[in-house]
Amino acid sequence: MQYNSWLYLFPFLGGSIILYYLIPVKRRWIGLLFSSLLFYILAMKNLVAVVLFTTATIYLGARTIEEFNEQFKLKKKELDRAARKELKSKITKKNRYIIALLCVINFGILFVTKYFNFFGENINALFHALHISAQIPFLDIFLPLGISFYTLSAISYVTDVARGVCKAEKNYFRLLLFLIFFPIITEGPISRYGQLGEELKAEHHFDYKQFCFGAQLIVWGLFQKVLLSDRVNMYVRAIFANHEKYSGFPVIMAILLYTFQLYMDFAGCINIARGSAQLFGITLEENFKRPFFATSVNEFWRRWHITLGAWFKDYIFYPISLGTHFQKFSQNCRKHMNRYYAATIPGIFALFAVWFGNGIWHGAEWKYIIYGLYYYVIMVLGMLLEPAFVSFCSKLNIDRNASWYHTMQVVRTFILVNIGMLIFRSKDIKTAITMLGSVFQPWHGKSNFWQLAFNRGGLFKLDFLLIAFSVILLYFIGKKQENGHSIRELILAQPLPIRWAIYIIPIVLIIIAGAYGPGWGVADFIYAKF
Amino acid sequence: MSKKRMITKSVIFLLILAFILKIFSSLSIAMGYNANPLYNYSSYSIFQEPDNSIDVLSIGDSNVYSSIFPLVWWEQQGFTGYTWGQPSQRIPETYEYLKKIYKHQKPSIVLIDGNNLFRDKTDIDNLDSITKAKLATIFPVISFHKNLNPRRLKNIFGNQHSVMKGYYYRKASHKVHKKKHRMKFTRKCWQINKLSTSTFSKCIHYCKSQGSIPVLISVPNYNGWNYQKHNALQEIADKNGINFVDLNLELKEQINWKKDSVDGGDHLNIKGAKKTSAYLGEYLKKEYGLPDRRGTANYKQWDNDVEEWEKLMLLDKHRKVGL
Repeated sequence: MQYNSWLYLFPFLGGSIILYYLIPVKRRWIGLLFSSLLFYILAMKNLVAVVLFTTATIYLGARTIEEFNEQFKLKKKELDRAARKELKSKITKKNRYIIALLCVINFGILFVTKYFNFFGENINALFHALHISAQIPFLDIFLPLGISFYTLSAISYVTDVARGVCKAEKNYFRLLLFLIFFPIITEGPISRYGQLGEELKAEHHFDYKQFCFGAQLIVWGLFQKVLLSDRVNMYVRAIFANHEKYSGFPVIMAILLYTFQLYMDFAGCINIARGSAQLFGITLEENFKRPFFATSVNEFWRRWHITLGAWFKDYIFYPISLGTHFQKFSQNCRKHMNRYYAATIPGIFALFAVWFGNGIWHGAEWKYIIYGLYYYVIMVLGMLLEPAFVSFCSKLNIDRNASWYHTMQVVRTFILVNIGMLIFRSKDIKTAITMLGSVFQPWHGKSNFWQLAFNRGGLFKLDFLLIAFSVILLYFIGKKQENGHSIRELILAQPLPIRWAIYIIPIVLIIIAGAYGPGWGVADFIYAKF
Repeated sequence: MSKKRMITKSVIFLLILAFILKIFSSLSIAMGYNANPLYNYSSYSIFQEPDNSIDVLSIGDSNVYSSIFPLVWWEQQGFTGYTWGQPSQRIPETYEYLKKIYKHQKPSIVLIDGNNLFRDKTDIDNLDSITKAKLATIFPVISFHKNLNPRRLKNIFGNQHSVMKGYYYRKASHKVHKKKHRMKFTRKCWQINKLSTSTFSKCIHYCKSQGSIPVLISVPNYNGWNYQKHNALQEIADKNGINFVDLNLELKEQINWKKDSVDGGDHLNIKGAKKTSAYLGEYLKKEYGLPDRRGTANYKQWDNDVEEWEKLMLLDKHRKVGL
């Protein structure tokens, strides 16, 4: 069920809200669980068994881990320091085995459903090259809804219990709700139990202001998705599907419009999700923070798909880079090289795991792996060249805090991100390279760009005006937010007629000018397929 | 803020929003007419026809309004007809439109195109279409928002009466390129979602309850049709106790897919539509004994419409093919 569908917005969400507020406050989570299960079963039918199984594994695993931790807490008082250390080491080892087992089981399910055929194809290609007759069979498998998202949430929950960040949930159904809460199941945000679990447990009384804020966020998300993102989909699709026919400006526009489309699509979905949760008084984590204001790709990824980046940072990057082995290796390296580079080495290895993981998480294709490694290379080069660059700027008296420098950084990051988006969208790497090359060739087509945009994408000049206006609006909204202002509070401070005009105009625009219905083509949420 | 104030504010807000959407709904319907009568195929023009004057209603998606030209029936058989169709129309929308139409018309025969049934493949698709169809009865702008194009503003002042009776006139010709073994016989059945078949049954029962005879049809479509779909529609017609006329089979020899399609096999042009309508006209006359109303005073407008259509065709003869 798409978040921008009539079914979701009216009968489903409307019915869920009525059910939620009719139930006594202490039991309202049961209403949410019912709605979430209904959402999941409508989409997946019998495949709900997969997420029920995942929940069972982490429920048992986390309770076992907590049991061991409780035993340690009880026994440590009676022990001397050495014995305490030994017991802690034993408990930590047991916990790690449990987490490892849960990772094998749950990532195993993810692997089989999402990656089996990809690895099978590649192994078969290798067998073919080596003249081996064996073949890995192709499996016809359905991907359970949200598996890429809830698997990460599941593993983070168990790890957080082991680290003592949160307590193990004693109620299986509350844990199930955490994993399949319907606003987050399709595209995230990837939630932590310490945050969302507590939100789902808390008793939320009806708050008119929060309810209105939630509704406004949904409208804003629909504006981004239905009015803006889906509008450019046909043009982008047409150029990317027949890229060999185009060069120059049409290709540049396709790349820029795809970046715009992806941002509006994903941010729009997240806003609808956050707005939906807010209707129930539940706060979800932000997943975007004005990413195109970033001055480096590192910063970009702290502003784009924030919860995914945070997950990789907390559960992959830090465990690897702060692990004993890499720390010892780094210390050894200090004997042979510059202190800065020696300290960077664990980070370089850890970053490889992060970006390989990030790439392959997006999809079972080589282009996604290369997409992740593209950012890895940029970040590593940035780290390695940083001392030289600081020295260079110092010698030339370049003020790195100057506004022109800041603008240059933003533009540079924007270009690098767009190249990444080109890799992300293209059919494969070869196509991405070809299209990148074609950007530098002039457009020799029979029609001018406006005719092309209309013929291939159904876009009039008015559509481009709308997109340009939206980009300017987003810029000013972003600027205000960067300066710490809340747009919703700013609007709330306006007189009633102006407030209501600001609320009504986007709703009307979505309905009268939205890219939905016949002639627009189906545009599923992009991140839902991951 | 007190509960009473909260509710009052919310209700006033929603009423204002509803009022604005109602205005845009009326605008979207008005802008759906075409100031050029040759291209005025707006379904809503059926409400400009005198009440209870339509003998045969054809309802479906763009295949229907590209294939069935009711003036052919008037000219050749003397009974009246109207074609109601929206692009990508779903069966839940067909059901809602039937209820709307029956407030003004009581056709003897209702031809429902089977292509409606194949669009919603899952339960979620169906439920979404049902929700949209229900909302669109209150706010038609949800279905007709594409009409709100500045270029169509002049249509508000156009004549709402449709000479074309809902038929979309196109004379361009693009031959089919793909060669498919679409006529290859099979006993296999295309899977139609249960919710779609259940909504179709509701349409049938509703038509019967209004005194009409529903007939399932499948208009000629090269790219979208195959024998599995034929079998599925035959099965559904048998279950509902109605006739099924598959024009893909009946007009197998007559439709020339090199000349009779406007877009390479999805929709017919005027040549294909005339053949389809002529065949259907004969079939309906023979099978259901429809009256010949030519020469009756109440139906003079139809003779005028045929004259108008012939004048428009003469003017259009010299126009370069663009549509």
